Amino acid sequence: MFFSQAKSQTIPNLQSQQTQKEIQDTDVLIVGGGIAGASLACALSSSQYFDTKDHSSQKLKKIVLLDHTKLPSMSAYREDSQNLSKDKRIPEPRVITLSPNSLRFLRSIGVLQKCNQKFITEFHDMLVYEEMGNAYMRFGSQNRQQSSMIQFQEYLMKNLLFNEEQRQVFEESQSHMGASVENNHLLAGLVERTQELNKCQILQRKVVKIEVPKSQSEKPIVELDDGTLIRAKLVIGSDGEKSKVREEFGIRASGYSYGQNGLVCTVRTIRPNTIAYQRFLRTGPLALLPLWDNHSSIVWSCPPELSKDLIDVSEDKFVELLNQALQKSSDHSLMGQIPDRVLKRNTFELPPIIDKLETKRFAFPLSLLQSENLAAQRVALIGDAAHRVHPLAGQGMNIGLTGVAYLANQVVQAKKCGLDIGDYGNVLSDYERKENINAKMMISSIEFVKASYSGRIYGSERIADSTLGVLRNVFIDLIQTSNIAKYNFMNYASGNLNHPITYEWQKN
Amino acid sequence: MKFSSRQVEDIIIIPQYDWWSPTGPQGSLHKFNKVRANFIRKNLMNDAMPIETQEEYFSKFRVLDIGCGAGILSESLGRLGMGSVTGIDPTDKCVELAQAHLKLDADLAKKVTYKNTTVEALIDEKFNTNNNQSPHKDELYDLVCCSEVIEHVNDQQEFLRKCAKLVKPETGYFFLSTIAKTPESYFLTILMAEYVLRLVPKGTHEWNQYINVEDIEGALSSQAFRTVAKAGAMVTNPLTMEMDEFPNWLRGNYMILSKRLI
Repeated sequence: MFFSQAKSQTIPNLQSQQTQKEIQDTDVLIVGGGIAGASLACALSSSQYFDTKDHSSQKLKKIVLLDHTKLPSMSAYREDSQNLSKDKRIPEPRVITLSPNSLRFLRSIGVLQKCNQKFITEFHDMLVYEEMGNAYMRFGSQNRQQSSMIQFQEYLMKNLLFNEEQRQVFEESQSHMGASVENNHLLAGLVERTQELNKCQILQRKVVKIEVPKSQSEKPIVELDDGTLIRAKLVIGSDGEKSKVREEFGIRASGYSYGQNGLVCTVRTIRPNTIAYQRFLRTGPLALLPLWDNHSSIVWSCPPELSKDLIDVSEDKFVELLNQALQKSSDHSLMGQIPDRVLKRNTFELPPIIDKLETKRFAFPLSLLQSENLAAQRVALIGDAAHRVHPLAGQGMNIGLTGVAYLANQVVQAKKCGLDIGDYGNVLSDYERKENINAKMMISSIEFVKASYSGRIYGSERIADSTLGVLRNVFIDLIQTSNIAKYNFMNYASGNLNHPITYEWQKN
Repeated sequence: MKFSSRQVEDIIIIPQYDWWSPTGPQGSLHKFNKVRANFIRKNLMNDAMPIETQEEYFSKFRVLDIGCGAGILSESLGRLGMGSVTGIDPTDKCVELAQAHLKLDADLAKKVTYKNTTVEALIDEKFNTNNNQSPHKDELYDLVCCSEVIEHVNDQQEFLRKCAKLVKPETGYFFLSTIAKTPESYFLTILMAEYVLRLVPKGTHEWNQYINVEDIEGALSSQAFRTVAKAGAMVTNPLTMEMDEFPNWLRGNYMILSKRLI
């Protein structure tokens, strides 16, 4: 008797506490609506497994995307295309480069079709040169037709290693070098496609607290700033380098600051630019990416003091400095120029002269960051939350999108096989393994290139310029001279061979 | 259900406390589970072509998993959206393991139940209550699964006949997976899997007990079953031991889905 009385007194209390804060259930909760988070939401929506039965507004949908800012809408990019003749739209300074594989992924989830094709600029050539020597490397998609060695290697690869699907994917990945697109334009396309698929709820909220599950039977509960509680089978951390999700789940991340700022802006050139340029200056790499019409995007990595000065100087002075940095002939002090007859053909081409600065100049600090684990029970990290790299190769977004493709594949496959999507052992560990291989390969090659130009390896003492410079110049000349070496270097460095071949949401 | 001469319990079941660990002693079963669950889902949908979504269609299914072991397939079927799943196993240790693991997922526990019983006892329960009259349709199952069980049974033809009885007439499906009696299967499942790579405990399989797909199809067609789909399953990635379907190679591990016509 006493026991039952005691129980009946305590239970209503607990229940009333729970009803005060009702917990809503969802399958996948994506924290952070950047490109990585939105593309995961879109990829999962592309499969048929996240349909909600009742479309009443009361219940949460099976995918929830959280972001505390308002996500961009497509209208800004579409209206413009109608009255282009009136005033031409100037590209925004934040531009990303997408590799052929990333483009294939975005096409498979129907995003690229949503974007305005005029504002996606494909480029077929890339030219890397430097200030401290004459060596340069020019990569181009037409290179492969010129060399019988490359054709022989491709013949062997296609016939011995690849199946039909892989052959098609490989052919596509070789057709061009990539495309540049504005960050917000792509994000707007992702948001529009996700809304069209109607399986994902986008909430403009901030995460206050995450209750991490202590046993296997519990699920994480996320508290939002309006007091809503959401319980999810799988929480995705795509909330950038200072990830709240990563912190709450106790996953450590390591890395170091490059001691550099990245300065971005849009410029106008005197003639249309078709080549993606990258020049390694003494102070850091400077990139010129082709955009539509006569526009180009600038990413200038340099020490923080210099970037501050570059923002403070007048627009005319800045354009002058920029032209100087891109056009000035290289030092011959390290090595004499290699005669043209030794280099089979001299394909070097200077970038066009810049005549106007079109947007404001923005700077942000650069750092390398790697999360120790990419997944744990009921949580996975993507995008900058998982790893952040130097923008010198323009590969940060591509590493992120490859990870998203792997993760979406795993989650959709788990749905098809009746597995728990938040289970680490069966589902998320596979994502972690595949993405680790991809990211480690890319990060090591980016760090290698970075170190060979800056003379610093992982923040160590600087190696003497002259020794390293001579070695580097000889090495780059050798690669530039040999088509097949360049071809393989390019395929490795751009991660062309490291992307899912098929996507689960396209299969039955 | 009678086990074959060698004691399956001693070899397979009792030493394996962490049956549910994907990297543990039953790791290859977890890999195979992905393939078989996807095979069942895909072919049920392809055969029926329902107008409603997969979730709605499956929610009407009553499923029986014969020889459920620790419930790996039963839980997968439950998560695929099957209305109710009953797992039966004659070994009480297995049922305990399965029930313990089911407690981890409260939503799934509403759909999945386990019973420590045999096929014979289940048939007695269903068929003998009304003086040998066949039971009402709704007491039988829309899908009967018998995965990696028949190779451990003595009288296989009799066992198949019993399983077939439990399938709902006209609409029910029967899923079976086992290993073919071929030299290749001896090499792969006994020599490689048990002795060289040690993926499964020694003595798990007995080659004499393997059965070919033709024999299964023959036995089922005499019970008025039509084959819906059959496919082999093989390791496709030797580094991760990931498995995949091999549609035209039924000489090793294979799966077959049939539909009861009358």
